[in-house]
Amino acid sequence: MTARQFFAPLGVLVCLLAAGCGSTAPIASSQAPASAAAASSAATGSAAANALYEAAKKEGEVVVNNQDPDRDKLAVDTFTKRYPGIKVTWQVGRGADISSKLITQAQANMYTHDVYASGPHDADAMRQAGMFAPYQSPELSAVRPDFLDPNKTLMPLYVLVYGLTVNTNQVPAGQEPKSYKDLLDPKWKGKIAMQDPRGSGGTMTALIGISKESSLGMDYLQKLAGQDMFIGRETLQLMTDLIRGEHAAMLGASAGNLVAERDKNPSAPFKQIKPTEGMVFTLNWMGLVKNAPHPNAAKLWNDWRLSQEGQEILAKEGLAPVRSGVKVERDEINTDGVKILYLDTGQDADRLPEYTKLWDTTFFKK
Amino acid sequence: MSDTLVARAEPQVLPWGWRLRLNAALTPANIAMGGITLFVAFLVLYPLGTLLIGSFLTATPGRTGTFTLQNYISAYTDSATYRILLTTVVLAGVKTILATLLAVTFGLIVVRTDTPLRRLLELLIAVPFFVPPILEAIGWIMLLSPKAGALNVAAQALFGPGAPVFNIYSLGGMIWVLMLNSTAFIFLLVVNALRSMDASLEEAAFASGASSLQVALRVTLPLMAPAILGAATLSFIRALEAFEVPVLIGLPAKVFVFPNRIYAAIDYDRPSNYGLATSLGVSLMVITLVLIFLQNRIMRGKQYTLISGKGYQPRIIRLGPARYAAFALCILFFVVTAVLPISQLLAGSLSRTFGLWDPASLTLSNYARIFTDDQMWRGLRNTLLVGGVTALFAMVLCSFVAYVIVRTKFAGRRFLDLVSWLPWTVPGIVVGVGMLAAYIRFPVHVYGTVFLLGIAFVTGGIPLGVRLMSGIMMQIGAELEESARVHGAQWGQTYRRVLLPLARPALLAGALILFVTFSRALSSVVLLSGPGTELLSVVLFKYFNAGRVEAVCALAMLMLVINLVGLAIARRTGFLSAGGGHL
Repeated sequence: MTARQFFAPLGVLVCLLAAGCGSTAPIASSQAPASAAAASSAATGSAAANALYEAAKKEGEVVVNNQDPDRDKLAVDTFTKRYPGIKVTWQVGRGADISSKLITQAQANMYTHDVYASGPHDADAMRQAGMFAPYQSPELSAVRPDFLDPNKTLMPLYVLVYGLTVNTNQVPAGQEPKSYKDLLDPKWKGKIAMQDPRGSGGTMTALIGISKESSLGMDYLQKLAGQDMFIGRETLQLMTDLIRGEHAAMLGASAGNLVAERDKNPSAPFKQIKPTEGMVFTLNWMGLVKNAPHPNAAKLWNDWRLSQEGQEILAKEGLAPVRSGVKVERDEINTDGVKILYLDTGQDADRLPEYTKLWDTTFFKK
Repeated sequence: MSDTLVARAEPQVLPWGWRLRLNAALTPANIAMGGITLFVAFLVLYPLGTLLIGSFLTATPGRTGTFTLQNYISAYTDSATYRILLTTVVLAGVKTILATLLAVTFGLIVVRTDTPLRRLLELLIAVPFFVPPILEAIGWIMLLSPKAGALNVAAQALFGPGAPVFNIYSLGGMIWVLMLNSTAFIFLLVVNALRSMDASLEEAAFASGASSLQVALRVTLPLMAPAILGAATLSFIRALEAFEVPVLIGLPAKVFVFPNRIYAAIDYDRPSNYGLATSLGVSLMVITLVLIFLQNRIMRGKQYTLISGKGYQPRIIRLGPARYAAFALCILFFVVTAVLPISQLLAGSLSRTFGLWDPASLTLSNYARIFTDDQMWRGLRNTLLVGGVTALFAMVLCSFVAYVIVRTKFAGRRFLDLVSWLPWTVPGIVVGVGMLAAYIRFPVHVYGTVFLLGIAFVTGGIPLGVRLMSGIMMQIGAELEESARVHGAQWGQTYRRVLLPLARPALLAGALILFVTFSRALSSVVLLSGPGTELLSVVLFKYFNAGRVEAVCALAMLMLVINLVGLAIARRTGFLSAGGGHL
């Protein structure tokens, strides 16, 4: 037998595999372009905006990362109707994995991504790697000033709001905790769950906020650790367990999680509590990636996400808007009059390893 | 002058002895085997080498950095590392021993005894393997969580209120879940080897007056050692690096094992500290090397020929009335390991909220959601196509590798054996990062294409594929090959016409197992393919991340049905049956 004969089956399989390569279709389906006149009238009307749209249309696509593309379906449909000819392609995955990939790609001078969006800690890792082009949307003038990036690199997209959640079957009306302090009552011992606060995420942010709040502080967290907390990593697991009665109260579910659960089942037995000490806000950022292949489409997408229409759609999706004056129908994400216990913009990102050690000592090494 | 000419000419020419040896070595067979060794070494060592180099740099793999030992100092000067490593080895050891005992028992029952409905039992015992580990863990949490776990609630209804009977959040809970999944995994790996038994040795033992038990313990099991040890070792290594149970059950139980530590390096640090994760992974490589050494010691100098040219229908042991007990044992295993957790997932897929089992919560909307999701259909099609082709390619490659390792005296075979274990010594996400860093600068443009995904999955499938095929190759008698050679067949023809048909059931079973792991892997898809890649794992991630665990359950049910139908068709058409291995 010749080597050629020997490798023939391999060759056939390689060819088959190569044939498979062409089979993966992009996520977003291409939209049929509407008439130029309609597009023009639908746009903001300013000459600059029209010029941006025309340039974006020539690029034809914007690549954005997303952990939950189904939630943003309405956003994509509305955007592509308003700006025909621009396809939104999602890169689905965790913010940390995407940032790792983009930073490695940039080291090899490869640029495939346009807009990076994530929580403050992954965004900070991208910023420290110099991965953003400093674009600031004109729509930022309508955004709450305390949500703006002082470095003028990133743009806020939405806010994740964290408070407490209780199971209404386990906790009768009137007996809910009103504050974080109430959780120290012995009756809550062994009944509270929270997400692993180490690393990053909503509970890390919540505990930083609590530790910095003068009426709570580290003394409070030490006592909370004595309440025999159930600590899990997956919010999904914790929410499911809370709803079926494994836990009575939970610290660290975002309002967005609660809206998603409520939409699935209006009668599910849980309730959000907005503690009197305040709620924890985590800003989610977006930024134009350096050397983006579709920079104009990226700018247009960023502008639209921050527009009144874009932010109203985010509010419908269950995310608290960053723009002032946006109608919010869902009480879970309504932050009007809510005290901010701590606003996480990534300002403590450098101290996360230190906090991780602190929470490790407080909650795991007792 | 002439001396100068000679001196100039001589270096071009090797001494006669060397030339002869080189000519003897450069046979087409050796060239092919050398090619396979180089190809597999490249597949494995290129990404792992990039990771290892990266673990000695201040930056993450593939990025510019300066030399440092910090990752190794952080990993190995902390006493917690050794404590956790010991817990992990004990946990993995206990669950592997228990799972191997169960798997071999079930394997013997379905292949070697007259237990009723054996073909059905073989399918049922394998079912837990086809449930994604994360969902299997969630299913068990639903059943055994202390307060709301269905079995605890049922126990309280029966025996009155009291302390919970079961607590999944414990070391015992972790061993339980890991063991059940491993049993199905080891069973799938060894059942074909058990089937490929030559009865003559056993018959000789019976003729010498040995009892069934003596034959099983002193003849059958020792002969099965390569396949059983290979499967058990794989299962052990898997427990050292799989995240699902440690994160979902171990963390709340505050029982920390090695995957928690590696996970912490990736998940707690921003950016993820893959250098530290790799340096921790080096421990797993050392453990693997020790295991391979021990395995080789145990099997050194023994013969494992089970399939000879004289027909190898295994002898069926008549159990008498005990065959009903064996049947009941298999059914009990199926009910406990498959029906109980899968019933939770099925109920979840039919509920508005997972865990709320009231009739008002019943819905078909989760199935409607997945069946009307275009991305799911495209993901399913792409997964079946790319996963199917990749899994088959990987298994054919692994059968070559196993052939070289087991059946030849090729000089590089020990190296090839060693290399073929390595991809599982580092967790999937870390290997994914190594592949990203390695292939992004690869001269041939594969990065961002589905082709690189194929390379990633073939690489990840090598340990399992090679173990599975080695177990079979060791059992095939040399006389079959020799007789083919005598009749003029080249070794390639011998491989294709003699060995491959005999090994076909194992090859296809391996392809199915690899396909299942392919359909679940996410990190590689995110890191290695371009935006917009649509595979089922991405769709699963999408639902999971959006909190739609009910849709995840529905999708898992769909995949379970597809996998089992595939397995049943493969067996019914003879591809995976005992007959598939006949000459």
